[in-house]
Amino acid sequence: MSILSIKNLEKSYNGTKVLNIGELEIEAGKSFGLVGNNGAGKTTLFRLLLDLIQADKGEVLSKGVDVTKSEDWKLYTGSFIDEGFLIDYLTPDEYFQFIAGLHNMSTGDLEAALAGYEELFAGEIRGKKKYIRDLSKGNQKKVGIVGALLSNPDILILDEPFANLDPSTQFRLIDELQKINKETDITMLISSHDLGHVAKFCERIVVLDKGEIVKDIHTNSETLQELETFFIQKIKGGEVAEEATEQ
Amino acid sequence: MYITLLKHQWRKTTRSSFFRQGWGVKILMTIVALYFLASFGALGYFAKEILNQAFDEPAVLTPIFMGFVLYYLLVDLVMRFFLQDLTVLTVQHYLVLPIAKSKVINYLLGSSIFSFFNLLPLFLITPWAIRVVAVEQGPSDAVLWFLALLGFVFTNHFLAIYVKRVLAVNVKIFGAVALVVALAFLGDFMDWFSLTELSKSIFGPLGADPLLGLISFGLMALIYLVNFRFLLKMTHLDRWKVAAKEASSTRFSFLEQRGPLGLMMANELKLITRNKRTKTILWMTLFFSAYGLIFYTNPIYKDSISWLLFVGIFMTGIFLINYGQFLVSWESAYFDGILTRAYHMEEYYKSKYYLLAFSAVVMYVLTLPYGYFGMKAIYINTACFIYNVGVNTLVLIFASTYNKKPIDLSRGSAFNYQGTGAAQFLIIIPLMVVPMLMVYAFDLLWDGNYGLIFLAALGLIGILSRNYFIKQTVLNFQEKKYINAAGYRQRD
Repeated sequence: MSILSIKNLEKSYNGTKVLNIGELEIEAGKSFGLVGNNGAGKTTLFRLLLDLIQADKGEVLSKGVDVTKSEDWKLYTGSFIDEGFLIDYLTPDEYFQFIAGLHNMSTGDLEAALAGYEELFAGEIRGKKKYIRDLSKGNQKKVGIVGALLSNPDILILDEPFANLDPSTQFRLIDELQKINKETDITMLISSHDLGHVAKFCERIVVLDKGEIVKDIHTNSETLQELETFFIQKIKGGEVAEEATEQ
Repeated sequence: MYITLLKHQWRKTTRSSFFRQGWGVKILMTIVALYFLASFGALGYFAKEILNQAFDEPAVLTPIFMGFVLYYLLVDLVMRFFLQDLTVLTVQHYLVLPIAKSKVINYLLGSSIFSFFNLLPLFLITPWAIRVVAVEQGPSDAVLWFLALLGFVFTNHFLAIYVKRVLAVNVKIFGAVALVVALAFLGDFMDWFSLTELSKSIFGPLGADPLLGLISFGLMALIYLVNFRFLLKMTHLDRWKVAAKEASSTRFSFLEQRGPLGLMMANELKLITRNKRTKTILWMTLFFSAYGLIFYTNPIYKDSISWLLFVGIFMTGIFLINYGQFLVSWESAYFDGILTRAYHMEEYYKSKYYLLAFSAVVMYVLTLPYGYFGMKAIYINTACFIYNVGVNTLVLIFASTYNKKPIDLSRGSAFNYQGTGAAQFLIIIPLMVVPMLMVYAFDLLWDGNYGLIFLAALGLIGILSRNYFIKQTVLNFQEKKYINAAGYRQRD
């Protein structure tokens, strides 16, 4: 059963079409990876899913309801796109308390949930007398991601969660996401530039190119190879095209 | 080299957000600037007549004029300190390029003299030099006199930017300068010493013998050197870093236990108390709660109900108007978060309403002591308070759905026009003038007191039907939010 469905979604900026998706059904409980080069439309798609920008055409249905018509999706969707989601004058602890409060979590629930992320935090986030705005980019990202996970959402949307993180943290985050994916029936949507990371735990991978879906793969042992070939081909294809115009 | 730097500066200015701001603000700022230039020019031109009248036609006027120079320079210093812009960050990108540091610093200091605050005194002293000094002492002395005063103006200029720069690193210096200026005026006011006499004894001889006046250029060179050496030392970026302040642990537990609405209000209180610009509003609010003293003690206004009404609206609503007109813009840095978090926008806007209403309650209580001037003050402030909560708050909340300019919270507020548009100035008119006119009409046709009852009634209607108006606001917000979000994402 699909939890998110996208129908005839189109978005243009200044006359250039940046996203054009005929139909995309995202199944409940599966992890969904989105890859593509810069400007392929990954963030645009995620912003449309979260009703942050207005589509020119088409609709996004979350549990069957148009996200622009009702706000109920907010109650079961956790998301982190960029620092524009963080309340920067709060300390991380206050931020988590705020999110927990919105979801009626008790202090005990919150502590239990956060205890699971101690390893990811590496002792740099909690209990420090520092505002979020004074944290490094990587640590801000950790706060945002954990904030999105905190309420045990049905849908999780993370844009480039691995960028700006140090290598150790990247591995920890992958472990964490894999664990959550296995243990709960969460639906994860994750975009990344790193093909390896996505291939590792996404059950389905969609490749966006210039706003269109060019590949839709159910992950298997050859997926990484297939993705790499695709992106290498893109460079070569680009070179061929350039040579053609030069002549 | 200097030409290239100048070119960069030009681009920076023409491409800056201030320059790209709407025409409304530009025109307004130009009018303010022209007004000041005209006033200073007129003062400089007619100073001869003014002093002649005040001092019964003395033989020479220049020594009297010199008696005011110290006042001017002190006020000038304070004005510059608060209003003059500093170019700080621009240096950073040149540090790693093959340009001599001394060149960059010379440029930085040298270009800073092209400032409105240096143009202003020219309008004051030029007419005086031509009309008085040239006549009293001859043209060549007039030129020297002019140059001498110019030297002092620039000394002030470099002193102000030095103090301001040092302040970025060391707050104590600011306290010291403020104390010296305050003591100077206090001492003058209390007759411990006379600033006029002091000014005369310092600047008098300079006026009489303008060659001596060129000492001012020595002073200017000295303070320039101090600036130069300070900046050279500060070209290492880490010297600029102000240690991140330890996070405040203030909690508003009472609110935080009251569900999403309380949580959002608690957050907003934290926003207000933890950011520089909002804190400035808080201080201003306290300061202006004393505004009524001017009106209640002055017999001209004491019996004019519409003026007292203005004061009432202003005092009970100063925070509400100042903070409320940038509602949501304050939170522009995380607007995407606001749009996706687990609450309905109606709750979000309700939290805004209660916060603004709460501020009016606080201001109402703070202004209760005006009852000392008679029960009338209490009646007026009560009507204004109810009107502010019932009408102005709802107007501001609705207007906030048209805000789309981001605000950088860390900057101070004086002359910081970031996040403002002409619409923001226009909003003050309906908020303050409309109730004033209504009461004025009642006063003219019938009885001003009925006007107060009318205002309070309007306010009560607003308070009782607030949920309806908040719903309308949310409907409008849903339509506008995509444009607003796009605007808020454009941070520089």
